[in-house]
Amino acid sequence: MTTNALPQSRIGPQPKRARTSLSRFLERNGFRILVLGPTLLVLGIFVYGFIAYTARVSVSQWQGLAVNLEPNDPLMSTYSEMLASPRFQADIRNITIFTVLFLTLAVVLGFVLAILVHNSLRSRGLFRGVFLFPYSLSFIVTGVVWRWIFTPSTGVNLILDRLGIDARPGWITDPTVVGDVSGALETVVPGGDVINTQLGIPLALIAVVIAASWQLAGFAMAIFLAGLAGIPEELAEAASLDGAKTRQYYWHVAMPQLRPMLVTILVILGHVSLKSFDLVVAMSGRGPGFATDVPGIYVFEQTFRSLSFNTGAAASIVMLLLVGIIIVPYLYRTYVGGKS
Amino acid sequence: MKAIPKTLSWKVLAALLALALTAAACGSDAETTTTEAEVENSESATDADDGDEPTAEDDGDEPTAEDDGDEPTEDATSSTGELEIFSWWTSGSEDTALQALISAFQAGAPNADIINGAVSGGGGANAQAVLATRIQGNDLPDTWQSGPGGRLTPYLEADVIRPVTEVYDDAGFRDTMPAGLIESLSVDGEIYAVATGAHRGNNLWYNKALLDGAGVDAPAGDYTNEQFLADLATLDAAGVTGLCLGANQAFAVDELFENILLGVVGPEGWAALRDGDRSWDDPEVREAAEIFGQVLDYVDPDASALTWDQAILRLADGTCAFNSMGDWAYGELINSGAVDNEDFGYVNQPGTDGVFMLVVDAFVVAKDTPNWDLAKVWLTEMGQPETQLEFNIAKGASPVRNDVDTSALPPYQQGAADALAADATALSIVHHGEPAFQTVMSEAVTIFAQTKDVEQFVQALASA
Repeated sequence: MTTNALPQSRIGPQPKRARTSLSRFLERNGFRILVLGPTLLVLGIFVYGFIAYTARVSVSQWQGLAVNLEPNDPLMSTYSEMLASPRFQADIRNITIFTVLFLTLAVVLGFVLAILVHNSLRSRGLFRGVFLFPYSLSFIVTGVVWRWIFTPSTGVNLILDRLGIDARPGWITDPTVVGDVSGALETVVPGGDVINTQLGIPLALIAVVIAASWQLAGFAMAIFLAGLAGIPEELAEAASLDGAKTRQYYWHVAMPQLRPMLVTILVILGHVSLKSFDLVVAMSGRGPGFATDVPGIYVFEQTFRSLSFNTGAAASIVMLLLVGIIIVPYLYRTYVGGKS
Repeated sequence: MKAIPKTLSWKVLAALLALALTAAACGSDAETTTTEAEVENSESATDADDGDEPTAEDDGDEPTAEDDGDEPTEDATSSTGELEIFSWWTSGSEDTALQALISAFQAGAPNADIINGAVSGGGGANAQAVLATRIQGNDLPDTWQSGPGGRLTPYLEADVIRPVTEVYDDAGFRDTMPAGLIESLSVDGEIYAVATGAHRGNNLWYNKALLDGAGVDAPAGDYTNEQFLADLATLDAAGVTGLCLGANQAFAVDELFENILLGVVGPEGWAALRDGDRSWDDPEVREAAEIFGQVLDYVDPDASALTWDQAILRLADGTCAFNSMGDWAYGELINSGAVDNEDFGYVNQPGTDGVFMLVVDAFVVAKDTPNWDLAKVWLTEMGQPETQLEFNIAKGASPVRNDVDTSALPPYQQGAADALAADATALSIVHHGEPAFQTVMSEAVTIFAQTKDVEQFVQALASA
């Protein structure tokens, strides 16, 4: 075996050709193999191996407790039935809208908090702790509390009432879906009558977005804070010498510097959002008319309530693809695009 | 302040990414991890069994289903060994009830040990998920909590439970337990489980003060759906919320529909629907759906934010007047300080007088258990009158034997126990349906509650 066989060797300095031997190779790379080997093995089995198994199950006939990997006929029928079901369509709608709203709110909140904390003259550590604290709580616990808060007749509406605000939103009990475009889509897209759910924004979801943002904005803040701390002070000085106002400094100088942080936050929170389960289960469950149902709940119910292991696996694969939509461009950017 | 070197920050990001990717790939919830762990455990246990000579140290191991069940274990007759029982009874009253079963078993098999493998949470959902993975890993408990009807089907299909008919014959259970119940625990002439007690599913609870205040007569045994709807309208006109509902949990809405349906089709129609002798595309199912839709018009607007127990507490505190829920609600009402027949009353769901909607807990036995003798003791003791009484006092259910002295039970449970012995029975679909159908019905109910589209609803049920 030569060192050239392994692509990793490109990372380190090229070894002299003269002494190509196993011992030389091990001397160079032994530590890497030692450190990476077990991880790669465990990842290979427990992540990629089980992803492959899940894909296998998703095209099988496995329903019930006995394992049945007999291929389905037609092979993708589990997927086609699942994708046509009103519930799963609602789930995809919900998770998409949830992710967009949640990322926006969490990032904006996190950025504002980061600027405030970064510039606070005293108690910076205290505020950082305060805003990061919700992140350390369990989703199940916060979900239950937020459910109480968003119970219309006993929760936050009482505060609105006292403030003299007349609105009594139904929060998580509101079944309304606003901006339904499914009718329009059906006329525009040929074969559009495959849509069996209302494609709009379920109002009940907004309460869940608020709860999730409350919990994770602190995380975004922490990453932004690290980014802000890394901006050289000379930049701020130079900007102020050039007469930039604070707002201009943050918009034109700090923000571009924080782009890597922003991408990191979007990727991490994005996949957390796509896999939402515990917060929603504890807070609103399926919601009225599946208004807050998410694929995670669907996977659990299909797999362990209905014992339809093939449908549960198929939904898991769809979730994985959704996460892939977020992760793959990031990977590409990091390892291919980032080089340029 | 120093800038983080760009290369370092990229390395940090790469590390974070690896973390994120791992998390992403690990699947949607912790259950997947459990699956892997369980499979891993059982495999390593099996490997150890295959590879090593049996040693004297073996008694430390959990009994695995790998052993050949036919061979009687060495000390079977003297009833030593360990029996693993698996349930989802972990809360206060449930645990007390379970302890009653355990002490009865220990009296019957003083030299045996018991392993209590209870898993908490989710009204049994977590436990059933754990059980499903254990079955796939071939690491079964000796006996586990199940139920009648469709609850047995997956276990029979996977061929992991054994008949317990001989327990019924030896202990004389056939003469003292309701025939309908035994039938629901039987498949092809063999009985597969022993029941610990029966809850009644078809109760309509009401707040007496609210009804009085609105001038509504307290409902009696012959209460009909027409009267029920009229009363809901009267309450509504008086500004009272008619129906409490814990719609945050799907089963509570499903149960409301199930109870209304039973009131329309009656016990024979119910059995026909369950057995598939009658299509769900049936005029009476449509009628029940219509009534269900009308009843839903009077639901507490907060319903989607409430669990079933919060909903019954709202009935107790006078927020809403009626609640359709199984008799586990009785304990919640009493614990809240409400007084039976003073603050609240109850009647059978309209149209279901003389019918007992069975919600039953029962224990099945693993097919290949090496501890069948202990399991027999467990089941036999479970069915004894004293055990049934003690268990059901704690659990708030009714003993399934007709020869139990019920005078020690609270008034509601005495009445329910008498009704169980006398009434026709219907087996709950929400609690004991086939898992796949149960899910379809639950999803159809969730959609119907918004759309009120009877045709779509009935077709969803019929095509399942």
